[in-house]
Amino acid sequence: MEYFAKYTYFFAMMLYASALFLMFFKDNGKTDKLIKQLLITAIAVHGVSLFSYIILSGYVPLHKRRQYMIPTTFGLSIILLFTWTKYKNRLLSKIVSFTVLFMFFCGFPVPLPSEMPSISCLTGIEPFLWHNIYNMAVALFAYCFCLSIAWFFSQNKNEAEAKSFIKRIHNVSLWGFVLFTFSQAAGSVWAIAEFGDYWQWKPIHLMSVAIWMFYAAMIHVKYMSGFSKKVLPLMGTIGFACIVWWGIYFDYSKNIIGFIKGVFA
Amino acid sequence: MGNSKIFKIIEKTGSVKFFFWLSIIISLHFYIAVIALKAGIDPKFKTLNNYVLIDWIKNYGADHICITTWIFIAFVFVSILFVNMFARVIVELNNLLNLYSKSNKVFFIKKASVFVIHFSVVLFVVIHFTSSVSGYKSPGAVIKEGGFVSHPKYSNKLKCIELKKTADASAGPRSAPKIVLKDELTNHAFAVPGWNNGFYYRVYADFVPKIIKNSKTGKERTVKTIGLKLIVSELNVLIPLLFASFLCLTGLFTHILMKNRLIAGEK
Repeated sequence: MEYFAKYTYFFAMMLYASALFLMFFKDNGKTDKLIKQLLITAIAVHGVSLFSYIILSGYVPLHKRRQYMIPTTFGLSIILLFTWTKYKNRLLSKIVSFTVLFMFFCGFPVPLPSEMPSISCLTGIEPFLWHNIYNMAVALFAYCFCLSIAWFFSQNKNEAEAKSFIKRIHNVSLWGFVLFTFSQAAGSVWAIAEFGDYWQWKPIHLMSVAIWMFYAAMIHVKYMSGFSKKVLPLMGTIGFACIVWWGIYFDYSKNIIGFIKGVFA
Repeated sequence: MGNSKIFKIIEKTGSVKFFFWLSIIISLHFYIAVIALKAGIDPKFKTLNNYVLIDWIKNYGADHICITTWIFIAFVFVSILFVNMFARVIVELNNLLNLYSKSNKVFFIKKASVFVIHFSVVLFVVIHFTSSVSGYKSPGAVIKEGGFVSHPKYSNKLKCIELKKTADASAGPRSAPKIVLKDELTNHAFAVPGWNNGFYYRVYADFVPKIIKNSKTGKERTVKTIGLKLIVSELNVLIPLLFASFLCLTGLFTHILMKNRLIAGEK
Protein backbone atom coordinates (compact mmCIF):
# COMPACT_ATOMS: atom_id res chain seq x y z
CA MET A 1 0.00 0.00 0.00
CA GLU A 2 2.94 2.29 0.85
CA TYR A 3 4.50 1.85 -2.58
CA PHE A 4 1.08 2.07 -4.20
CA ALA A 5 0.74 5.67 -2.91
CA LYS A 6 4.21 6.64 -4.10
CA TYR A 7 4.12 4.98 -7.52
CA THR A 8 0.60 6.11 -8.44
CA TYR A 9 2.00 9.62 -7.98
CA PHE A 10 4.86 8.76 -10.35
CA PHE A 11 2.37 7.22 -12.79
CA ALA A 12 0.24 10.39 -12.72
CA MET A 13 3.36 12.42 -13.53
CA MET A 14 4.09 10.14 -16.48
CA LEU A 15 0.58 10.77 -17.77
CA TYR A 16 1.08 14.55 -17.45
CA ALA A 17 4.41 14.18 -19.28
CA SER A 18 2.67 12.26 -22.09
CA ALA A 19 0.04 15.02 -22.35
CA LEU A 20 2.82 17.61 -22.49
CA PHE A 21 4.61 15.59 -25.17
CA LEU A 22 1.43 15.52 -27.29
CA MET A 23 0.89 19.27 -26.73
CA PHE A 24 4.39 19.99 -28.03
CA PHE A 25 4.87 17.49 -30.82
CA LYS A 26 1.44 16.32 -31.98
CA ASP A 27 -0.50 19.55 -31.71
CA ASN A 28 -2.62 19.19 -34.85
CA GLY A 29 -6.14 19.48 -33.44
CA LYS A 30 -6.79 15.76 -33.76
CA THR A 31 -5.11 14.98 -30.45
CA ASP A 32 -7.18 17.46 -28.39
CA LYS A 33 -9.57 14.81 -27.17
CA LEU A 34 -6.77 12.39 -26.35
CA ILE A 35 -4.92 15.07 -24.36
CA LYS A 36 -8.11 15.84 -22.46
CA GLN A 37 -8.59 12.14 -21.63
CA LEU A 38 -4.96 11.85 -20.58
CA LEU A 39 -5.28 14.85 -18.27
CA ILE A 40 -8.50 13.53 -16.68
CA THR A 41 -6.88 10.12 -16.11
CA ALA A 42 -3.75 11.76 -14.67
CA ILE A 43 -5.84 13.85 -12.27
CA ALA A 44 -7.80 10.77 -11.18
CA VAL A 45 -4.60 8.77 -10.57
CA HIS A 46 -3.02 11.75 -8.82
CA GLY A 47 -6.14 12.05 -6.62
CA VAL A 48 -5.93 8.37 -5.66
CA SER A 49 -2.26 8.84 -4.74
CA LEU A 50 -3.00 11.94 -2.62
CA PHE A 51 -5.88 10.16 -0.90
CA SER A 52 -3.63 7.16 -0.14
CA TYR A 53 -1.00 9.48 1.36
CA ILE A 54 -3.63 11.11 3.59
CA ILE A 55 -5.06 7.77 4.71
CA LEU A 56 -1.68 6.13 5.36
CA SER A 57 0.09 9.01 7.07
CA GLY A 58 -2.99 10.47 8.76
CA TYR A 59 -2.62 14.02 7.50
CA VAL A 60 -2.20 16.14 4.37
CA PRO A 61 1.40 15.85 3.14
CA LEU A 62 2.69 19.28 4.02
CA HIS A 63 5.07 19.24 6.94
CA LYS A 64 8.21 18.57 4.93
CA ARG A 65 8.57 20.93 2.03
CA ARG A 66 9.10 18.17 -0.53
CA GLN A 67 5.77 16.59 0.44
CA TYR A 68 3.63 19.61 -0.22
CA MET A 69 4.42 19.27 -3.89
CA ILE A 70 1.94 16.33 -3.99
CA PRO A 71 -1.21 18.35 -3.11
CA THR A 72 0.05 21.54 -4.80
CA THR A 73 0.70 19.81 -8.12
CA PHE A 74 -2.78 18.28 -7.76
CA GLY A 75 -4.33 21.77 -7.46
CA LEU A 76 -2.30 23.02 -10.41
CA SER A 77 -3.25 20.02 -12.57
CA ILE A 78 -6.96 20.80 -12.05
CA ILE A 79 -6.17 24.32 -13.27
CA LEU A 80 -4.36 22.70 -16.22
CA LEU A 81 -7.52 20.83 -17.20
CA PHE A 82 -9.39 24.16 -17.16
CA THR A 83 -6.80 25.94 -19.29
CA TRP A 84 -6.95 23.11 -21.83
CA THR A 85 -10.72 22.50 -21.97
CA LYS A 86 -12.33 25.81 -21.00
CA TYR A 87 -9.86 28.55 -21.97
CA LYS A 88 -8.45 26.43 -24.80
CA ASN A 89 -5.17 28.28 -24.53
CA ARG A 90 -2.39 26.07 -25.88
CA LEU A 91 0.55 28.22 -24.82
CA LEU A 92 -0.74 28.53 -21.27
CA SER A 93 -1.56 24.80 -21.06
CA LYS A 94 1.99 23.93 -22.12
CA ILE A 95 3.46 26.23 -19.48
CA VAL A 96 1.12 24.92 -16.75
CA SER A 97 1.89 21.26 -17.52
CA PHE A 98 5.59 22.09 -17.67
CA THR A 99 5.28 23.73 -14.22
CA VAL A 100 3.48 20.65 -12.82
CA LEU A 101 6.39 18.48 -13.95
CA PHE A 102 8.94 21.02 -12.74
CA MET A 103 7.33 20.97 -9.28
CA PHE A 104 7.39 17.19 -9.34
CA PHE A 105 11.15 17.27 -9.98
CA CYS A 106 11.56 19.90 -7.26
CA GLY A 107 9.92 17.56 -4.77
CA PHE A 108 11.86 14.52 -5.95
CA PRO A 109 12.38 11.99 -4.35
CA VAL A 110 8.95 11.93 -2.73
CA PRO A 111 9.09 9.91 0.51
CA LEU A 112 6.86 6.98 1.35
CA PRO A 113 3.95 7.79 3.70
CA SER A 114 5.70 5.93 6.54
CA GLU A 115 8.86 7.99 6.00
CA MET A 116 6.95 11.17 6.69
CA PRO A 117 7.41 12.31 10.31
CA SER A 118 4.44 11.53 12.52
CA ILE A 119 2.95 14.79 13.71
CA SER A 120 -0.10 13.71 15.57
CA CYS A 121 -1.35 17.21 16.34
CA LEU A 122 -1.81 17.78 12.61
CA THR A 123 -4.42 15.05 12.29
CA GLY A 124 -7.47 17.09 13.34
CA ILE A 125 -10.02 18.58 10.98
CA GLU A 126 -8.78 22.18 11.48
CA PRO A 127 -5.20 21.54 10.30
CA PHE A 128 -6.61 19.51 7.43
CA LEU A 129 -8.74 22.49 6.41
CA TRP A 130 -6.12 25.22 6.59
CA HIS A 131 -3.38 23.02 5.11
CA ASN A 132 -5.53 22.44 2.05
CA ILE A 133 -6.41 26.12 1.79
CA TYR A 134 -2.68 26.86 1.96
CA ASN A 135 -2.11 24.32 -0.82
CA MET A 136 -4.79 25.96 -2.94
CA ALA A 137 -3.12 29.35 -2.40
CA VAL A 138 0.28 27.97 -3.49
CA ALA A 139 -1.37 26.33 -6.53
CA LEU A 140 -2.85 29.73 -7.46
CA PHE A 141 0.54 31.39 -7.03
CA ALA A 142 1.94 28.70 -9.33
CA TYR A 143 -0.80 29.48 -11.87
CA CYS A 144 0.04 33.17 -11.51
CA PHE A 145 3.64 32.25 -12.36
CA CYS A 146 2.46 30.35 -15.47
CA LEU A 147 0.35 33.32 -16.60
CA SER A 148 3.35 35.61 -16.10
CA ILE A 149 5.60 33.38 -18.22
CA ALA A 150 2.84 33.16 -20.85
CA TRP A 151 2.66 36.97 -20.88
CA PHE A 152 6.41 37.22 -21.60
CA PHE A 153 5.96 34.87 -24.57
CA SER A 154 2.90 36.59 -25.99
CA GLN A 155 3.60 40.31 -25.36
CA ASN A 156 5.07 40.97 -28.79
CA LYS A 157 2.94 38.47 -30.72
CA ASN A 158 -0.62 38.87 -29.52
CA GLU A 159 -1.43 42.09 -27.70
CA ALA A 160 -5.06 41.19 -26.89
CA GLU A 161 -3.97 37.91 -25.35
CA ALA A 162 -1.20 39.62 -23.38
CA LYS A 163 -3.77 42.09 -22.01
CA SER A 164 -6.06 39.28 -20.91
CA PHE A 165 -3.07 37.61 -19.19
CA ILE A 166 -2.34 40.79 -17.21
CA LYS A 167 -5.96 40.96 -16.05
CA ARG A 168 -5.91 37.31 -15.06
CA ILE A 169 -2.55 37.65 -13.23
CA HIS A 170 -4.14 40.32 -11.04
CA ASN A 171 -7.29 38.29 -10.36
CA VAL A 172 -5.42 35.05 -9.65
CA SER A 173 -2.91 36.75 -7.34
CA LEU A 174 -5.83 38.39 -5.52
CA TRP A 175 -7.52 35.01 -4.99
CA GLY A 176 -4.22 33.43 -3.99
CA PHE A 177 -3.66 36.26 -1.51
CA VAL A 178 -7.17 35.83 -0.04
CA LEU A 179 -6.71 32.06 0.43
CA PHE A 180 -3.21 32.51 1.79
CA THR A 181 -4.50 35.07 4.32
CA PHE A 182 -7.30 32.70 5.30
CA SER A 183 -4.88 29.81 5.85
CA GLN A 184 -2.55 31.99 7.93
CA ALA A 185 -5.37 33.45 10.04
CA ALA A 186 -6.91 30.01 10.66
CA GLY A 187 -3.45 28.58 11.35
CA SER A 188 -2.67 31.34 13.88
CA VAL A 189 -5.87 30.80 15.83
CA TRP A 190 -5.29 27.04 15.79
CA ALA A 191 -1.66 27.50 16.90
CA ILE A 192 -2.72 29.58 19.92
CA ALA A 193 -5.13 26.86 20.98
CA GLU A 194 -2.61 24.08 20.33
CA PHE A 195 0.85 25.52 21.10
CA GLY A 196 -0.04 28.55 23.25
CA ASP A 197 1.37 31.05 20.78
CA TYR A 198 0.64 32.08 17.20
CA TRP A 199 4.13 33.29 16.37
CA GLN A 200 7.38 31.34 16.38
CA TRP A 201 10.76 32.69 15.39
CA LYS A 202 11.45 30.09 12.74
CA PRO A 203 12.01 30.18 8.96
CA ILE A 204 8.52 29.05 7.95
CA HIS A 205 6.82 31.89 9.87
CA LEU A 206 9.25 34.49 8.56
CA MET A 207 8.69 33.10 5.07
CA SER A 208 4.90 33.44 5.51
CA VAL A 209 5.34 37.16 6.30
CA ALA A 210 7.63 37.57 3.28
CA ILE A 211 5.10 35.86 0.96
CA TRP A 212 2.15 37.79 2.40
CA MET A 213 3.87 41.17 2.05
CA PHE A 214 5.09 40.36 -1.46
CA TYR A 215 1.65 39.39 -2.79
CA ALA A 216 0.04 42.28 -0.89
CA ALA A 217 2.35 44.57 -2.89
CA MET A 218 1.48 42.69 -6.08
CA ILE A 219 -2.28 43.17 -5.78
CA HIS A 220 -1.73 46.92 -5.37
CA VAL A 221 0.19 47.29 -8.68
CA LYS A 222 -3.10 47.71 -10.56
CA TYR A 223 -3.91 50.85 -8.57
CA MET A 224 -0.62 52.61 -9.31
CA SER A 225 0.15 54.80 -12.26
CA GLY A 226 3.48 55.27 -14.01
CA PHE A 227 4.59 51.66 -13.70
CA SER A 228 5.71 49.51 -16.61
CA LYS A 229 3.25 46.76 -17.56
CA LYS A 230 6.10 44.32 -17.06
CA VAL A 231 5.95 44.79 -13.27
CA LEU A 232 2.99 42.47 -12.62
CA PRO A 233 4.30 39.47 -14.66
CA LEU A 234 7.78 40.03 -13.24
CA MET A 235 6.42 39.90 -9.70
CA GLY A 236 4.34 36.82 -10.52
CA THR A 237 7.49 35.07 -11.70
CA ILE A 238 9.75 36.19 -8.83
CA GLY A 239 7.14 35.46 -6.14
CA PHE A 240 6.64 31.83 -7.05
CA ALA A 241 10.32 31.30 -7.87
CA CYS A 242 11.13 32.43 -4.31
CA ILE A 243 8.53 30.03 -2.82
CA VAL A 244 9.95 27.08 -4.78
CA TRP A 245 13.56 28.11 -4.20
CA TRP A 246 13.15 28.30 -0.42
CA GLY A 247 11.31 24.99 -0.51
CA ILE A 248 13.96 23.01 -2.33
CA TYR A 249 17.25 24.86 -2.35
CA PHE A 250 18.43 23.95 1.12
CA ASP A 251 17.56 20.29 0.79
CA TYR A 252 19.42 20.08 -2.50
CA SER A 253 22.33 22.26 -1.44
CA LYS A 254 22.79 19.98 1.58
CA ASN A 255 22.75 16.95 -0.72
CA ILE A 256 25.22 18.55 -3.14
CA ILE A 257 27.57 19.65 -0.33
CA GLY A 258 27.30 16.16 1.21
CA PHE A 259 28.05 14.61 -2.17
CA ILE A 260 31.12 16.83 -2.75
CA LYS A 261 32.38 16.14 0.78
CA GLY A 262 31.91 12.40 0.13
CA VAL A 263 33.90 12.58 -3.11
CA PHE A 264 36.83 14.45 -1.57
CA ALA A 265 36.83 12.64 1.76
CA MET B 1 -6.79 75.67 4.12
CA GLY B 2 -4.75 74.27 6.99
CA ASN B 3 -7.01 71.23 7.14
CA SER B 4 -6.64 70.49 3.43
CA LYS B 5 -2.85 70.75 3.76
CA ILE B 6 -2.87 68.27 6.63
CA PHE B 7 -5.16 65.98 4.65
CA LYS B 8 -2.80 66.12 1.67
CA ILE B 9 0.07 65.06 3.93
CA ILE B 10 -2.07 62.20 5.29
CA GLU B 11 -2.97 61.18 1.72
CA LYS B 12 0.71 61.11 0.72
CA THR B 13 1.66 59.13 3.83
CA GLY B 14 -1.03 56.58 3.06
CA SER B 15 -0.31 56.38 -0.67
CA VAL B 16 -0.41 53.06 -2.51
CA LYS B 17 3.03 53.65 -4.04
CA PHE B 18 4.54 54.13 -0.59
CA PHE B 19 2.88 50.91 0.59
CA PHE B 20 4.12 49.03 -2.48
CA TRP B 21 7.79 49.87 -1.96
CA LEU B 22 7.53 49.40 1.78
CA SER B 23 6.01 45.95 1.51
CA ILE B 24 8.62 44.89 -1.07
CA ILE B 25 11.38 46.02 1.32
CA ILE B 26 9.76 44.21 4.29
CA SER B 27 9.34 41.09 2.18
CA LEU B 28 13.01 41.21 1.17
CA HIS B 29 14.08 41.86 4.76
CA PHE B 30 12.22 38.76 6.00
CA TYR B 31 13.43 36.67 3.05
CA ILE B 32 17.05 37.55 3.88
CA ALA B 33 16.37 36.40 7.46
CA VAL B 34 14.98 33.09 6.17
CA ILE B 35 18.10 32.49 4.10
CA ALA B 36 20.39 33.53 6.94
CA LEU B 37 18.55 31.24 9.36
CA LYS B 38 18.68 28.31 6.98
CA ALA B 39 22.37 28.89 6.38
CA GLY B 40 22.80 28.72 10.17
CA ILE B 41 24.35 32.18 10.56
CA ASP B 42 23.24 32.57 14.19
CA PRO B 43 21.72 29.47 15.86
CA LYS B 44 20.73 31.63 18.86
CA PHE B 45 17.88 33.05 16.77
CA LYS B 46 15.64 30.24 17.99
CA THR B 47 16.08 31.29 21.63
CA LEU B 48 13.79 34.21 20.74
CA ASN B 49 10.92 31.72 21.10
CA ASN B 50 11.60 31.33 24.81
CA TYR B 51 11.22 34.99 25.72
CA VAL B 52 8.88 37.88 25.14
CA LEU B 53 10.72 39.90 22.48
CA ILE B 54 11.43 42.89 24.72
CA ASP B 55 12.90 40.61 27.45
CA TRP B 56 15.16 38.87 24.93
CA ILE B 57 16.52 42.21 23.68
CA LYS B 58 17.15 43.36 27.27
CA ASN B 59 18.95 40.15 28.26
CA TYR B 60 20.71 38.96 25.11
CA GLY B 61 20.42 41.79 22.59
CA ALA B 62 23.95 43.07 23.13
CA ASP B 63 25.50 39.59 22.70
CA HIS B 64 23.78 38.94 19.37
CA ILE B 65 24.19 42.22 17.58
CA CYS B 66 23.31 40.76 14.16
CA ILE B 67 19.88 39.53 15.30
CA THR B 68 19.23 42.71 17.30
CA THR B 69 20.02 44.87 14.26
CA TRP B 70 17.71 42.74 12.11
CA ILE B 71 14.90 43.05 14.69
CA PHE B 72 15.47 46.80 15.00
CA ILE B 73 15.29 47.30 11.20
CA ALA B 74 12.15 45.10 11.05
CA PHE B 75 10.63 47.18 13.85
CA VAL B 76 11.36 50.44 11.98
CA PHE B 77 9.84 49.10 8.73
CA VAL B 78 6.73 47.71 10.45
CA SER B 79 6.30 51.01 12.34
CA ILE B 80 6.41 52.90 9.03
CA LEU B 81 3.92 50.37 7.63
CA PHE B 82 1.66 51.06 10.61
CA VAL B 83 1.81 54.81 9.93
CA ASN B 84 1.11 54.20 6.22
CA MET B 85 -1.85 51.94 7.02
CA PHE B 86 -3.23 54.28 9.66
CA ALA B 87 -3.08 57.19 7.21
CA ARG B 88 -4.80 55.01 4.59
CA VAL B 89 -7.56 54.16 7.05
CA ILE B 90 -8.16 57.87 7.74
CA VAL B 91 -8.26 58.68 4.00
CA GLU B 92 -10.67 55.80 3.34
CA LEU B 93 -12.92 56.77 6.23
CA ASN B 94 -13.09 60.29 4.83
CA ASN B 95 -13.90 58.90 1.35
CA LEU B 96 -16.61 56.70 2.83
CA LEU B 97 -18.24 59.63 4.62
CA ASN B 98 -18.22 61.61 1.36
CA LEU B 99 -19.56 58.68 -0.64
CA TYR B 100 -22.39 57.87 1.78
CA SER B 101 -25.74 58.72 0.13
CA LYS B 102 -23.95 59.89 -3.05
CA SER B 103 -22.90 56.62 -4.67
CA ASN B 104 -24.71 53.36 -5.30
CA LYS B 105 -24.88 50.68 -2.62
CA VAL B 106 -22.56 48.12 -4.27
CA PHE B 107 -19.81 50.69 -4.85
CA PHE B 108 -20.14 51.93 -1.27
CA ILE B 109 -19.88 48.39 0.15
CA LYS B 110 -16.81 47.74 -2.03
CA LYS B 111 -15.13 50.87 -0.66
CA ALA B 112 -16.18 49.95 2.88
CA SER B 113 -14.60 46.50 2.45
CA VAL B 114 -11.27 48.12 1.49
CA PHE B 115 -11.50 50.24 4.65
CA VAL B 116 -12.19 47.11 6.75
CA ILE B 117 -9.20 45.21 5.26
CA HIS B 118 -6.77 48.05 5.97
CA PHE B 119 -8.23 48.61 9.42
CA SER B 120 -7.71 44.91 10.23
CA VAL B 121 -4.03 45.17 9.20
CA VAL B 122 -3.64 48.10 11.62
CA LEU B 123 -5.21 45.88 14.30
CA PHE B 124 -2.82 42.98 13.46
CA VAL B 125 0.20 45.26 13.89
CA VAL B 126 -1.14 46.59 17.23
CA ILE B 127 -1.90 43.05 18.52
CA HIS B 128 1.52 41.75 17.52
CA PHE B 129 3.30 44.76 19.01
CA THR B 130 1.36 44.44 22.30
CA SER B 131 2.11 40.72 22.61
CA SER B 132 5.80 41.39 21.85
CA VAL B 133 6.32 43.95 24.59
CA SER B 134 3.95 42.82 27.32
CA GLY B 135 3.66 39.73 29.46
CA TYR B 136 6.16 37.13 30.50
CA LYS B 137 7.43 33.86 29.05
CA SER B 138 9.06 31.35 31.34
CA PRO B 139 12.22 30.30 29.47
CA GLY B 140 13.43 27.50 31.75
CA ALA B 141 10.84 26.23 34.18
CA VAL B 142 8.87 23.27 32.91
CA ILE B 143 5.40 22.74 34.40
CA LYS B 144 5.14 19.47 36.34
CA GLU B 145 2.36 18.12 38.48
CA GLY B 146 3.08 19.00 42.12
CA GLY B 147 5.72 21.53 41.07
CA PHE B 148 5.66 25.30 41.57
CA VAL B 149 5.78 28.05 39.00
CA SER B 150 6.09 31.77 39.46
CA HIS B 151 6.56 34.86 37.36
CA PRO B 152 8.02 38.28 38.12
CA LYS B 153 4.70 40.09 37.65
CA TYR B 154 2.99 38.26 40.54
CA SER B 155 4.59 37.55 43.90
CA ASN B 156 2.45 34.53 44.92
CA LYS B 157 3.67 31.06 44.09
CA LEU B 158 1.47 28.88 41.92
CA LYS B 159 1.30 25.14 42.41
CA CYS B 160 0.40 22.83 39.56
CA ILE B 161 -2.24 20.57 41.10
CA GLU B 162 -3.29 18.86 37.90
CA LEU B 163 -1.55 18.17 34.61
CA LYS B 164 -3.30 15.76 32.35
CA LYS B 165 -2.14 15.16 28.86
CA THR B 166 -5.23 14.63 26.76
CA ALA B 167 -7.30 11.50 27.41
CA ASP B 168 -6.83 10.43 23.82
CA ALA B 169 -3.32 8.94 23.73
CA SER B 170 -3.22 8.98 19.95
CA ALA B 171 -3.62 12.76 19.95
CA GLY B 172 0.11 13.05 20.63
CA PRO B 173 2.35 14.87 23.06
CA ARG B 174 1.81 18.32 21.63
CA SER B 175 -1.98 18.40 21.85
CA ALA B 176 -3.54 20.76 24.38
CA PRO B 177 -3.30 19.28 27.90
CA LYS B 178 -5.50 19.99 30.92
CA ILE B 179 -3.65 22.05 33.52
CA VAL B 180 -4.89 23.41 36.87
CA LEU B 181 -2.80 25.84 38.93
CA LYS B 182 -3.50 26.82 42.54
CA ASP B 183 -2.53 30.15 44.09
CA GLU B 184 -0.71 29.10 47.27
CA LEU B 185 -1.65 32.25 49.20
CA THR B 186 -5.29 32.67 48.23
CA ASN B 187 -5.96 28.94 47.63
CA HIS B 188 -7.71 29.87 44.40
CA ALA B 189 -7.46 27.15 41.75
CA PHE B 190 -7.83 28.01 38.08
CA ALA B 191 -7.54 26.18 34.78
CA VAL B 192 -4.89 27.05 32.22
CA PRO B 193 -5.49 28.69 29.77
CA GLY B 194 -7.43 31.10 31.96
CA TRP B 195 -7.44 34.29 34.03
CA ASN B 196 -6.16 34.79 37.57
CA ASN B 197 -5.80 38.17 39.32
CA GLY B 198 -5.76 40.20 36.12
CA PHE B 199 -3.29 37.95 34.28
CA TYR B 200 -4.04 35.55 31.46
CA TYR B 201 -2.16 32.26 31.82
CA ARG B 202 -1.44 29.87 28.98
CA VAL B 203 1.28 27.38 28.14
CA TYR B 204 3.54 26.81 25.19
CA ALA B 205 5.31 23.65 24.08
CA ASP B 206 9.09 23.68 23.87
CA PHE B 207 11.87 21.14 23.43
CA VAL B 208 13.60 20.42 26.74
CA PRO B 209 16.62 18.23 27.38
CA LYS B 210 16.10 15.06 29.44
CA ILE B 211 18.86 12.81 30.76
CA ILE B 212 18.22 9.10 30.24
CA LYS B 213 20.32 6.45 31.95
CA ASN B 214 20.93 3.17 30.19
CA SER B 215 20.05 0.41 32.69
CA LYS B 216 22.58 -2.03 31.21
CA THR B 217 25.64 0.11 30.57
CA GLY B 218 24.87 2.84 33.10
CA LYS B 219 25.74 5.47 30.52
CA GLU B 220 23.78 8.71 30.51
CA ARG B 221 22.60 10.45 27.39
CA THR B 222 20.55 13.55 26.76
CA VAL B 223 17.42 13.36 24.61
CA LYS B 224 14.99 16.04 23.53
CA THR B 225 11.44 15.86 24.90
CA ILE B 226 8.50 18.21 24.87
CA GLY B 227 8.02 20.36 27.96
CA LEU B 228 5.22 22.78 28.80
CA LYS B 229 6.21 26.28 29.85
CA LEU B 230 4.23 29.23 31.11
CA ILE B 231 3.19 32.40 29.26
CA VAL B 232 1.58 35.18 31.29
CA SER B 233 0.10 38.32 29.83
CA GLU B 234 -2.34 41.08 30.65
CA LEU B 235 -4.13 40.46 27.38
CA ASN B 236 -5.63 37.34 25.85
CA VAL B 237 -4.52 37.78 22.24
CA LEU B 238 -6.82 35.05 20.96
CA ILE B 239 -9.97 37.20 21.00
CA PRO B 240 -8.44 40.32 19.36
CA LEU B 241 -6.69 38.04 16.85
CA LEU B 242 -9.97 36.30 16.04
CA PHE B 243 -11.66 39.67 15.66
CA ALA B 244 -8.95 41.06 13.37
CA SER B 245 -8.92 37.85 11.29
CA PHE B 246 -12.70 37.97 10.98
CA LEU B 247 -12.56 41.62 9.83
CA CYS B 248 -9.76 40.94 7.34
CA LEU B 249 -11.40 37.90 5.77
CA THR B 250 -14.88 39.46 5.67
CA GLY B 251 -13.36 42.51 4.00
CA LEU B 252 -11.43 40.46 1.44
CA PHE B 253 -14.39 38.24 0.46
CA THR B 254 -16.83 41.18 0.35
CA HIS B 255 -14.38 43.12 -1.82
CA ILE B 256 -14.15 40.32 -4.38
CA LEU B 257 -17.92 39.78 -4.33
CA MET B 258 -18.69 43.48 -4.86
CA LYS B 259 -15.98 43.81 -7.51
CA ASN B 260 -17.56 40.97 -9.51
CA ARG B 261 -21.02 42.51 -9.07
CA LEU B 262 -19.77 45.86 -10.37
CA ILE B 263 -18.15 44.15 -13.38
CA ALA B 264 -21.38 42.22 -14.03
CA GLY B 265 -23.33 45.49 -13.72
CA GLU B 266 -21.08 47.23 -16.27
CA LYS B 267 -21.62 44.37 -18.72
